[in-house]
Amino acid sequence: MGFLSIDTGTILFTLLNTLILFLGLKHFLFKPVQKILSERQAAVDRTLQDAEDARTRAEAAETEYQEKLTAAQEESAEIVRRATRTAQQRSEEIIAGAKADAANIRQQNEDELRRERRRAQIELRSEVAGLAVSVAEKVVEREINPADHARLIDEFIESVGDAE
Amino acid sequence: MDMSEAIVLCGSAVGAGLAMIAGIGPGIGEGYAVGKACEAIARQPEASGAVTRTMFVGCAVAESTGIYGLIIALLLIFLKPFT
Amino acid sequence: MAVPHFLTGPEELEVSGAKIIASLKIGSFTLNFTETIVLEWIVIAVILGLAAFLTRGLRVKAVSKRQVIAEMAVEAITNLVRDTMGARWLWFTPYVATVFCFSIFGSLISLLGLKAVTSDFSVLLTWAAVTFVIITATKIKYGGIGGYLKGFADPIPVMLPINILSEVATPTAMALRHFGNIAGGGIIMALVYYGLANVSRMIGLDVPIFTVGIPAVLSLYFDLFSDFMQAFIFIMLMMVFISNAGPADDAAEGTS
Repeated sequence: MGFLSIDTGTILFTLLNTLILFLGLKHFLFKPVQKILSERQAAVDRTLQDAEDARTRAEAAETEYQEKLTAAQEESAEIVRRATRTAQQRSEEIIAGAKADAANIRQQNEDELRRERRRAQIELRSEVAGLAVSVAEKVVEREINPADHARLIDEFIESVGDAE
Repeated sequence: MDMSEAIVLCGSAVGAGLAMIAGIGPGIGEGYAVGKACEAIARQPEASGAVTRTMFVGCAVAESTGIYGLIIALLLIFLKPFT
Repeated sequence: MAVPHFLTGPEELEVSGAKIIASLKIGSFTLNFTETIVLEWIVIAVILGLAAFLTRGLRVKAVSKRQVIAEMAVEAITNLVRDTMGARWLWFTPYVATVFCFSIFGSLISLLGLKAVTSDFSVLLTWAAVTFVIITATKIKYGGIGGYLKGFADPIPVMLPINILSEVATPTAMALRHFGNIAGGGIIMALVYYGLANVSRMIGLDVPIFTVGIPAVLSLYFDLFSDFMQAFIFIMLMMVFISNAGPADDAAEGTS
């Protein structure tokens, strides 16, 4: 055969051989590898889908948790507020009670004092009256009628009372 | 070896030498292409893969005229088609 | 001292095509069975064996190194097809991989001292012809037969012969380019071996010791690099020509 000869037999057999190699490569290399690659792609897709689902679930759980947290915070704030209000009321009541007690006690003391003074005045008046009568009897040494007597005493007492 | 055969052999040898003049064109062309490819890679180093691939294909296409000359020269020297 | 023939190196340079092993005559038609076909079977066996080895025991998780290589290869070629031709040509990927592997392994067997499959012009002409058929089919599919025939008279009817020529030149140039690179590289390597063996003989050595090591440097370019490059370029051009035969990718979204 020549260097640059074209041979029909070689062409036909080469065509056949190329076809055989084409089918062989397709069957032995491309089909299994592409099957594996698509299976792996499917696995990757599934994993991604799972991850996506998990993320969605986690987000839902987080939202729920956040809501619960907010509610709890509100509740605690309410409790604190109520307790503060109660405590304030209570302290005001106590202070008011204490003030009322103090006022009562002072009132009683003042009444007592006033009564004491009254009694002392009355006692003093009668003592002064007796004293004045005896002093006057001794000084005047004369009989005076009871009317004058009483009038004099009253005048005296008035003057003493004014001087008080 | 008679005279006519000697003339044919002489002509074949000279023809083979002349056929290889075809090597000038691809030489110049490929040198130019590779120079341009170097410039392109220097300007955009990240595109070196694509530039190199294209350059090799272009070089191979440019080389074909030289290869034709080589085939003719080989035919003339070794196959002596005119004897 | 008698040295076995296979140790003395090439005594004369022989450039020829594939040897004919058997031929069948049917009337005036001769069907040749050549060396190339046997080598193709070897190459196919190697490629399919490799593919079967790499894809043995595939798993979704805990992948083995073999499986990683297989997946990388499939993904690389798929991405190449998608980038070059667009997503609607993805079904074409196994054929691209077939030609790529066939071309690389068919060229690389020259490292074993066998004749490279791709240094037989008929093989490359076959692949180029398949490409031509696919290009034509794509043009007819998207433009109709009328549109396809009208394309030859574009832009003016005078261009008809030039258009026909360029239509035929596309696959021919592809085949010739690949063939010329591999066959030319093979001949240059043969010349190097022949020359080094002659140098050894000239200094009086029966065993050509110069052919050890020195050609490996050249072989690195002419066999390894050139083989990979040509296989890659062949499939690149194939993909570009075929995808250019159809309309632009976004215009064809509705039809595909």
